[in-house]
Amino acid sequence: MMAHSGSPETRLTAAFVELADNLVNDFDVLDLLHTLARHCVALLDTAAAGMLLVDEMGHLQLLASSNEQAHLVELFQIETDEPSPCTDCFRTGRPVTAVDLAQHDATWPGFVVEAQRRGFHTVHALPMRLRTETIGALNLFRTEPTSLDDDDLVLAQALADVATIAILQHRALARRDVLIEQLQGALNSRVVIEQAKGVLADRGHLDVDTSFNLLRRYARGHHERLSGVAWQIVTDRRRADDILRWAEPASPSQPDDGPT
Amino acid sequence: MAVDRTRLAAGLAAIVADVPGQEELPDRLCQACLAALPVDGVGLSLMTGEHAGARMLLGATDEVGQQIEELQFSLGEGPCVTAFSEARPVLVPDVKGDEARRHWPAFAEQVVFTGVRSLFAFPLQVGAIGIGVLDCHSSQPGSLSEITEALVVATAVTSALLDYQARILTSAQPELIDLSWRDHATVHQATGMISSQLNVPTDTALARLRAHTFRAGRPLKEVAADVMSRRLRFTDEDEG
Repeated sequence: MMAHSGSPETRLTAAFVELADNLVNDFDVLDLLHTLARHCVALLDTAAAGMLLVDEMGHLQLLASSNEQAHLVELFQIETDEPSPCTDCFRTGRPVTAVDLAQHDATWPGFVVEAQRRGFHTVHALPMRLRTETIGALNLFRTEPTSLDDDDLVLAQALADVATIAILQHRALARRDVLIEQLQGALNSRVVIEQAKGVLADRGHLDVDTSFNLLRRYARGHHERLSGVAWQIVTDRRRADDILRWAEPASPSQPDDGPT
Repeated sequence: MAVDRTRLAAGLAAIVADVPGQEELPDRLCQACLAALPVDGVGLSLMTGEHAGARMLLGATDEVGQQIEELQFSLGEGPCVTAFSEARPVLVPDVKGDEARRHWPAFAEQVVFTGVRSLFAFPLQVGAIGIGVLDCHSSQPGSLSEITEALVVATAVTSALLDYQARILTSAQPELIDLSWRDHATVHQATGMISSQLNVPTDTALARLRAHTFRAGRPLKEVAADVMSRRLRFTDEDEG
């Protein structure tokens, strides 16, 4: 459940202000991508958004999702393992739209079945690309078998472009080396977050989505990085328990309150 | 030159399986890595703790490699130390450059005597599980021309060392060399869950999880899914 405060223009402004903050302050790829994924769902008429980056094997890896429910994360996994709008988008560096997935089951048979099973009927995959360099993709899922309108598509690509530029241009990234250091660091940070979800799920008797939301709320509430808090949770059991205790006044199933 | 990850992994797995003693493992892994990379030498160090003071050399293909490891160990700073503590590659195309001097002043001053001019450190890492660092060095400055290959080599070495840890727990052999397990979120979630259930460090949890799959002859993804759905629980007495 997302809190939508203010007009669309207000929310849009808030989104770009937050993204700009991310660029100016101590830059963290993972936090930026999580922020972006959440804003996509709040600003656009989509049910779910995922930010995927390429790894050293040329495979797309999910780095951030608008929600961390297992069935959605699993769908992103399927989308990167099999032919899908997302893999086509990354390979070509061009947007790929699949409206009413039932019409596309011949193109992406495995993926279409799994997406439909989860209630999604339209996919928009937008490249994260700067000139000749495509580093990943923004993937949007809709439950309706209709396309996002043109304005929303332009906005979605703009958000993807902001993220791409942020990642590629950070710290006057003249050298490819620094980009690789950042991307590999982000890929590993994602794994830490997954490990942390497992620890919290066990200690708090929670599902992975609730665990992630708890992790995120704590990080934001304490002005710490997602990956930093995740690292603490995985390497020190007492920190995990502290964080669960911190969350106790609210019930474990309290919905996350939006992108801000 | 493209590294065939599966073939390299098979070669490293063979080393891990055949090596008579743990002491020989590092040097042999290093030699296998050197064959796959366009560098002068390769070093491999196993971390026993977070801080440089706890580092322990595993192996190197040449004396220069050994010197670099020992230098960073004694100074408590350097690209390998940073790579390990920040869990990301540290790529230094010129150890005489401003950046190197700024980040590691003592190291930059000393390393020139070794003849090494560029150094690339790759942590052997699965999330918060940090096994060590693989580093490559060259007497020439400049970026590593085949970074992708080096990253691939690092993941293959990580898998081989994790295999080694799992094999300590079981004599069962994995059927296939399958490196895709790293890509699956449920495997990492299950690792965290098991480490909490057993109250053990994360690397032990992963070793236990993988040993279980070797014994059971089941794919890692499936076992991980069972752990996350609570169908399978790891306890101290057995493996669930």
